[in-house]
Amino acid sequence: MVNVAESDPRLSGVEYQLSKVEEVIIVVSTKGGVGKSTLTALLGLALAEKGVSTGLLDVDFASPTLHVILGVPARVELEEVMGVKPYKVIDNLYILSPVFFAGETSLPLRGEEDVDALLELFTIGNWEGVNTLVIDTPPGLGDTQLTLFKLLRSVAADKTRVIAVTTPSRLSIKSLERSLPLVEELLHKKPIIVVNMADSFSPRLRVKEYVVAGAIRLDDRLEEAVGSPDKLRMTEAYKDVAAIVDKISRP
Amino acid sequence: MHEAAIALAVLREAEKLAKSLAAKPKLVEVVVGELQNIDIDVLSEYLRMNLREVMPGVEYRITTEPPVLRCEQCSHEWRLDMSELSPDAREAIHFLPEALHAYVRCPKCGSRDLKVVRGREIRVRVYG
Ligand SMILES: Nc1ncnc2c1ncn2[C@@H]1O[C@H](COP(=O)(O)OP(=O)(O)OP(=O)(O)O)[C@@H](O)[C@H]1O
Ligand SMILES: [Mg+2]
Ligand SMILES: [Zn+2]
Repeated sequence: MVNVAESDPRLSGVEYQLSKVEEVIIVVSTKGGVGKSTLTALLGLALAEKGVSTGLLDVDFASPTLHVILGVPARVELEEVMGVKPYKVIDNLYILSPVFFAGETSLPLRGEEDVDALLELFTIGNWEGVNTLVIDTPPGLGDTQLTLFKLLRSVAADKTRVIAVTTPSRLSIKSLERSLPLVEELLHKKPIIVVNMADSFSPRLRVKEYVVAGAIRLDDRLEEAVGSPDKLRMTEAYKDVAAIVDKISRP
Repeated sequence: MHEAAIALAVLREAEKLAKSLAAKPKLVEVVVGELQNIDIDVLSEYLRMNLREVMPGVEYRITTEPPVLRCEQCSHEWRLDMSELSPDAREAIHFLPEALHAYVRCPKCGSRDLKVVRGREIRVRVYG
């Protein structure tokens, strides 16, 4: 007869914190540098402009950059209420990043610690008042993504969607096509494809039987807009992302 | 407060665990790794106020576990004294224990490639 039972309370904590949001969007790509962080930031800006209260979570512990794109410093004061409240970027847009705790230092994290750090961020992040949570992930399909998929499937299955980003490069598309069945298998959701750094041929791109939600133009003015939400909202890339938001928004 | 979020998670988890127990639950034990830098008095107060509502008649106990680190470079193992860290470091580690890699070095070789052997997590045990 079992008379003692033990477990890690974090899962219950994550379940509670995520019960506060209406939808979760995970942004992934197996290939690095295709624009996940840029897309996450622009999605946040576009959703916020539509009046949707949006939270952004950076789980790229090796190289967090979401705050850089949005011009948020690494050292910010966070309010401690049932965990921590994310930092307010602009109206309707909030962010939580590992740099708020570790600063701009690379952390030597092995796989298991990466997973612990991920669970901890989800346990402490208090997304009260946030409707849509968008998660920026590191490149690849490793510990972070596998843990994230499992976590969201167990505590937020109905409200989770995944966007897979690619460039028009054949290497990126090959890498994407290879990964999509696995993502689908793990998350039980069909990934939505976004083509970034697109050329004039990209809108007609086919990625197996998957829906391509839209394309974001290669925009050479993006670089100078980095760090300023106002300037980002004036870029062509932003307009393309705003169109994608309209297309994938739930009625 | 971080403690409030933890207390809530502990209570929810204890309820789930109690259901998996063959016997009637008698005691909830919370093992807190000191790396979490949790205010035990505050946590205890939350549990005292709320446990009787969720699980009437069940006692609780909080046990702390001191942090032990091992250097992955030179294999040195030592007990980390949290009070030697700066308030900033303690605060950051309180929220995200992995942030310790930004603040703590091996006292023997200076490496930040460390492993937490003990004292990181929070565990809930329910005894029947
Ligand atoms: N549509 C675009 N037009 C021009 N430049 C872009 C576009 N999208 C992203 N970039 C630039 O490409 C670089 C990589 O983008 P980003 O960091 O968002 O990619 P990532 O997928 O998040 O990378 P990583 O895999 O390292 O996380 C950045 O310098 C970014 O400014
Ligand atoms: Mg990135
Ligand atoms: Zn050492």
